[in-house]
Amino acid sequence: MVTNVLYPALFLGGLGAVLSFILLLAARKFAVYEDPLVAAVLDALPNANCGACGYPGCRQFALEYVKSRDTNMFCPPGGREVAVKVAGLLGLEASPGEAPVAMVLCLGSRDKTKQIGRYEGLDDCRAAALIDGGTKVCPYGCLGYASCERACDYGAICMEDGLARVDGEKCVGCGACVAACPRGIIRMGPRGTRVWVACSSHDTGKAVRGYCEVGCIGCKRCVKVCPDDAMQFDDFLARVDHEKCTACGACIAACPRDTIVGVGLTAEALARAYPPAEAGSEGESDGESDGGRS
Amino acid sequence: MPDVTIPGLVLAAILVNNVVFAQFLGICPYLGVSKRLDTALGMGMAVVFVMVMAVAITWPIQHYLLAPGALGEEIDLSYLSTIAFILVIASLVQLVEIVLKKVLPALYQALGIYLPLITTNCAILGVAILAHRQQLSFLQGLIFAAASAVGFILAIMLFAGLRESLEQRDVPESLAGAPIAFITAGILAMAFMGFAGLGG
Repeated sequence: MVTNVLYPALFLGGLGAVLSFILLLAARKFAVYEDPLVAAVLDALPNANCGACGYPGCRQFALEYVKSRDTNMFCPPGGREVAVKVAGLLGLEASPGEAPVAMVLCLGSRDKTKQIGRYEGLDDCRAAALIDGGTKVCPYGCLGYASCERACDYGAICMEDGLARVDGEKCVGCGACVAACPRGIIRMGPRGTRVWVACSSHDTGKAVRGYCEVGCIGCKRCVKVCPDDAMQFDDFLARVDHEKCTACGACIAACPRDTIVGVGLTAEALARAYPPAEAGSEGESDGESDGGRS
Repeated sequence: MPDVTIPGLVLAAILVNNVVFAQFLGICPYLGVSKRLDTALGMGMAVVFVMVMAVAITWPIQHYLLAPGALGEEIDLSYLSTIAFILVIASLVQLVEIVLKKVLPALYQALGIYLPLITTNCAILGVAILAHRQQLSFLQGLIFAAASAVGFILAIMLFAGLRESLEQRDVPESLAGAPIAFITAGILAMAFMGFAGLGG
């Protein structure tokens, strides 16, 4: 019978029509004005909803970004490129952002460390680590075969005399180098002003003296001198607690081995860290100390 | 209307005929959104909200449009209830989302992504259909829906709590992740079988 088809078709068709009409009315009546910039910013973001920025998703980030116009809000996976794009949409200048930055916890370049033997294997840290750790005696230090340099997509790491150095300006904080280093001497730290103990050796002071001119010997002077209780000491190695550190420079001055490195220090801290006689002896702080980072 | 007492209805819906453990409805959100307690609670609250709304709207449709003879002497559209309910619930969720966004932005934020996810939650459709199969009155239907949703919250919260503490445990590698979650869900469902005699 025709009605067997007709009635259900009419019913469902009618139901669908009524419901869509209701939805249409509701969409009109309850339309929420949304800044078209939010959609534009959302488009520019990676839309991975990873939460690395601290917001639940890209949409919340976009909403907050458009509302606050705060260029310090940073999308770590999007990196610098997205930061510039997003800031451009709002007619703002991108700030360098708050992504973490890589720090190399070793200062043992070839001339400052003792070498033994000869390594002729693959020119790769992971290969060298598998064999016997390259030619440096120190079992903790930078191997110097540039695995991190190759892992970095941003050209932020370069090898200088068998030691990895990070260019904080280029580093986007992706952490690829941390994963690439077989010795685990690269760590992520706060961008901007930071102080860290550039050594990873857990050997005793005597052993470290034997193979490195700049390694931490575990004398604890930095621990004693730190006014903020930010220096932790564990297993013959000092480590800076970035939450507590105020980058006053006291530990840098106290370290008898010049193992502690500071970046972006204030003039006052610089003066304290490197008393006039030795001023300028620390190369790594030069590049960024006057860069006006946030 | 059948002779059902309200406490009996509530108890049965929460424990004895728990949507997840006894009816096996809403398994997808049950397994999908139960990794953390707070997301599980968010999902659960959204389910309460939508479930009650769904029964509130499908009950009249069932009784005044679909029931045999409701639209005319020879017309019996009751076999259309599933497809009609799907249509109605999907539109309802959409409507609720639009209205909430305007009227109660805070609640909209809190329910967040769970609201659209619920459109595909079979527990909603299941409870709407069960409510009319048990021939409940409108009010009983609403209470049944709310109690079923509470049962869903109970199930998903228990499971999320277990999964959270499982994260800390040393699970054998071959069982880590989904397998141990399924085993846990199975044991939990068996535990709920203990309530079977309660409702008589």
